[in-house]
Amino acid sequence: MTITLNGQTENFPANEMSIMELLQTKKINWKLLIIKHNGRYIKRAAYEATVLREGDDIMVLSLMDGG
Amino acid sequence: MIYAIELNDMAKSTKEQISDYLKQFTVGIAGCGGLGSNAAMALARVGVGKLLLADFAIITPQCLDRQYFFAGQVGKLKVHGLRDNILKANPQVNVKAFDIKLCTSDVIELFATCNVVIEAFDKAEMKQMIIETMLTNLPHIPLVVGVGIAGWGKDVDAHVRRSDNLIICGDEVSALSDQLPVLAPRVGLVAHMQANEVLKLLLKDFILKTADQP
Repeated sequence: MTITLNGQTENFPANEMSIMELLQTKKINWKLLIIKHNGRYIKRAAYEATVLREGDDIMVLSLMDGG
Repeated sequence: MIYAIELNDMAKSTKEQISDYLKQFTVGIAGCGGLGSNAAMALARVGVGKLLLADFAIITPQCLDRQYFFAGQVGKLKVHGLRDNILKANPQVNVKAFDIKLCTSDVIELFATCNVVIEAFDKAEMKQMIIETMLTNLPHIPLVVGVGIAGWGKDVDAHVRRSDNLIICGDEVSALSDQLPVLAPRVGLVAHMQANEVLKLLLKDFILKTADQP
């Protein structure tokens, strides 16, 4: 499947995958994240249950100290 | 020649028109440290009408190396010190100072009337709290966040990206650590990127009036 991750087109062999699987595949391992799926904010508790499909748009923001 | 001078007198300068236009807007500043104090000063100088400042911390000597405070203000609340400094730069700004450690319900109550909000916290957990709160409860209000500001150099890595009403400024990788402190030039750079994004949003419908087009 092809999805858009932070504005970039990305291809994956699987036809669908959870947000958790996407994070593992992309080695995104920051403790605190902001994730939007097709424009909708996804709480951390829903990373496992939220399934990505062909054409979906994902925004991932890693949060870190400093301000 | 005289005619030309009269025309110039009639038309306000671009800067004057911009500051007049900006008077109608309110910007929330969540956190008044390195990002918040510098961004707030920039917005005050261009003439944003109202600034809502929120922070619970006190100015310490360690703040002075990067935050918009002065040695004589050590011991004061940051929101009070920043209010004083803003009013010295531009007495016309309406500044509301809130001595508060923001939680979800405070964010909703305090920032509901803002045109734009700047996220300027130092802790990642607080950044998450305000982003989650704004995206969930106040999604119509743009939120400009600063993420990845520690260290020095790497100016080309700092960028702006947008996801609807969430605007992200910074390099998104440089986390504060013992080896990578937050230093004045780079935190100032990102703070001013945030202020610039706010200005871009506020001025999106601004129309410059010329002398023959009152």
